Amino acid sequence: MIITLLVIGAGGFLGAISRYLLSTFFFKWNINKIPLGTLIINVSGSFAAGVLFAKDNISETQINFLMIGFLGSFTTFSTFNYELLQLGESNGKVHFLIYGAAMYAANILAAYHGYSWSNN
Amino acid sequence: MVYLAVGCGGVIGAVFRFLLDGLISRTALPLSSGILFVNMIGCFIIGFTLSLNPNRFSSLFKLGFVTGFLGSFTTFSSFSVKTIELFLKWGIQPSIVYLALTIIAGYGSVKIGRVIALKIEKG
Repeated sequence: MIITLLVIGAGGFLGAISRYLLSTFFFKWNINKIPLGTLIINVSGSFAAGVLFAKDNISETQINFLMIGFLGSFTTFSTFNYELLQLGESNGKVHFLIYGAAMYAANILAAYHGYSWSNN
Repeated sequence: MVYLAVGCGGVIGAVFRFLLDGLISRTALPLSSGILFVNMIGCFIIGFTLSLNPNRFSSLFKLGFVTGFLGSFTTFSSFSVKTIELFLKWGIQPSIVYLALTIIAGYGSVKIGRVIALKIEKG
C-alpha cells in the first residue's frame, strides 16, 4: 500500500508541475476570453488516458503512475469549473455554453479516439 | 520554490483522490463513481477559496493549494475514461446519465462554494 501511494504521489508531483508549466505557457491563449489552456491540457490528458485504458498488457504499477498519478493530476476539473463560473458571470451565456460544451465533448471524443486508436 | 509548492500539492491531491475514490467506489452503487464525488468536493473548495478575499492567502499558498492540491485532487481524464467505459459496457444511456450528473455536480458545487464564501466575506 505504501509503495502504491508513493507511485501515485510521484505521478501526481510530475502531473501537477507539467500542468502548471503548460498553463503558464498557454496563459494568453484564448478566443473571446474563452481560456484554451485548460481545454488543451485536459483533452491531451483524456486522449492519453483513452490510449492507456485500451491496453491490457499494462501493469498495475504503470496504471497507478501514469493513469491515476500523472494523468489524473495533469488534467483538472476544479479549474475548469471555476473558469466556467467566471465566464458565466462576465461574458454572458454564449461563451459559458460554448466553453462548457467544448470541454465535455472534446474530452469524451479524445478519450474515445485514444481508446480506438490504441485498440486497433 | 514555486514548483515545489505545486508539486507537493500535487502529491497530496493525487493520493487523497486515490484513497477517497477507493473508499467510495467500494461502498456505492455501480454508476456513482468515487471520482464524481471527489470532483464535486474539489469544485466546492475551489469556488469557496477563490471567492474569499484574496488578501487572506499568499501567492505561494494559492499555487500549492489551488493549482497543486485542488488541481490534482480533481481530474478530467478519469471522468472521460469512465464515460467511455460505461458506454462500452452498458451503452449510451448510463454514460449520458453520468455526464449529466458530472456537469450538474461540478458547476453546482463551484457555485455553492462561491455563494457561501461571499456570504462570509460580507459578514
